[in-house]
Amino acid sequence: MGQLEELRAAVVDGQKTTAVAKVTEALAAGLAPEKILQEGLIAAMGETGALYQAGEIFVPEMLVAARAMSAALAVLKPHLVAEGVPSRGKVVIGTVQGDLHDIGKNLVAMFLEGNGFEVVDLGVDVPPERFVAEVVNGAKAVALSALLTTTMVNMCDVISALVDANLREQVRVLVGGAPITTEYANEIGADGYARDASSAVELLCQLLEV
Amino acid sequence: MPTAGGVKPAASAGLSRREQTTVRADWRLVVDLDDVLQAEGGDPGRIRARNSSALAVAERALELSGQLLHAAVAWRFVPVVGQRHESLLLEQACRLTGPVVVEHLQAAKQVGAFVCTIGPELEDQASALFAEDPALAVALDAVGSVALQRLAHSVREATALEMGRTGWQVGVAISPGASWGLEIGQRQLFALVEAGLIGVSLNNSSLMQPKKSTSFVLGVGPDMTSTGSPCDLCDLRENCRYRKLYESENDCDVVAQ
Repeated sequence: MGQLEELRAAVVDGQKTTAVAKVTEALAAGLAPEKILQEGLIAAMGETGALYQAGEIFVPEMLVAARAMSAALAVLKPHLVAEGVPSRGKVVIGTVQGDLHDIGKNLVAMFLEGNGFEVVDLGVDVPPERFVAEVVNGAKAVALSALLTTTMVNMCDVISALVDANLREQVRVLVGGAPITTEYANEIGADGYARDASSAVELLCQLLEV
Repeated sequence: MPTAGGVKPAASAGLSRREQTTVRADWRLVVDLDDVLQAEGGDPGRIRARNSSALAVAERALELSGQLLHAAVAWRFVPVVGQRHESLLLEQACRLTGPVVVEHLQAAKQVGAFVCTIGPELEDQASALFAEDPALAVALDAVGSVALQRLAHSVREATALEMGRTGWQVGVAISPGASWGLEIGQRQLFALVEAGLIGVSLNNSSLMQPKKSTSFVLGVGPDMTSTGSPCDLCDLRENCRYRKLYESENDCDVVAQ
């Protein structure tokens, strides 16, 4: 089994220590950081996502895979930066104003980062203008989270703020959270709805064509 | 337990909300490994069969939770004095409004308002852990969700048991945000019970803090119907991952210390 194949297997199996060791070995062996990212970590998360979508693994298993990926990425990141490897795009993510729930949003942020996106996480209870500011600063996508029927309506305010700032056409908007549906996403003028972290990655890749 | 003893006599009319609120904090919550895996969206049987590393993470979350769960319940029973349009009128000029409330509580002689929490420590720890170990953080969050659900279930069961002794029935639990408007429901419910006694407050969006808290009203009386599930009243029932867990609960895993 090759180094990258071993790295992929370690990530998919959620073996954090092994995944970190495999990245370190691959770097020491002279493999390009971008190759390790693309063919190791991103490929592993793609495989994990596919297994999840097929019902072969479940959320807790996807989480341990994400944990392994995250640890391995932390080792790789300085090398990616040093070599000027571009990200797949900048995404700003946050839980909308009035809502304090962060676990689901954090998961999506982690999965996006593990799949090569640059993620700006604004946290919880985020007012619309902060999303707008990040789009001005180059974010290609906005990912909005809400856990409650009473706070999901604040997603509309973010989209309106983007429209008011004449930025809506240049950015993709994803929405997610327990009460959100595809119908709701369409109703408020979002570009898509993702039911979980894995779907969010897939959707964003489609929307940004990366 | 929330009992008829929690129903203050008519002479309590001059007492403050705080004085009429009963608190109990001596709960011991029992959550098992399969509950955690299921609450995270997993199939415990298949995860066990693979001996996945997710098992060890869930076990660690359960270990950690032992020091972090601080369950408490505050409640108060208030006699029903009438009904007007979409309002249920209660003693001391209190009221509950909304079609769901009136439909499900119109046969009640009294309404019990309950606020339950497992305290802030578990959710604080889960948030703090996320950067370092997201899998453990989510598993810990799942332990908290199950524990809170068990606590609320236990309160409902204990109330039904107690009321049954006097021939009264307990209706389905109605929570703000689940077909009963969140803002108006929380405002009216928190006007009945002094949730601050167990450290629970509402923010500007009517969300409870600590987040791992739940609130509901129960109608009690000789003519109440005790069938049905709170999930029947919830707008999120089709997508809710906790519904299966909730509806499969046949017994109470929460016991008094």
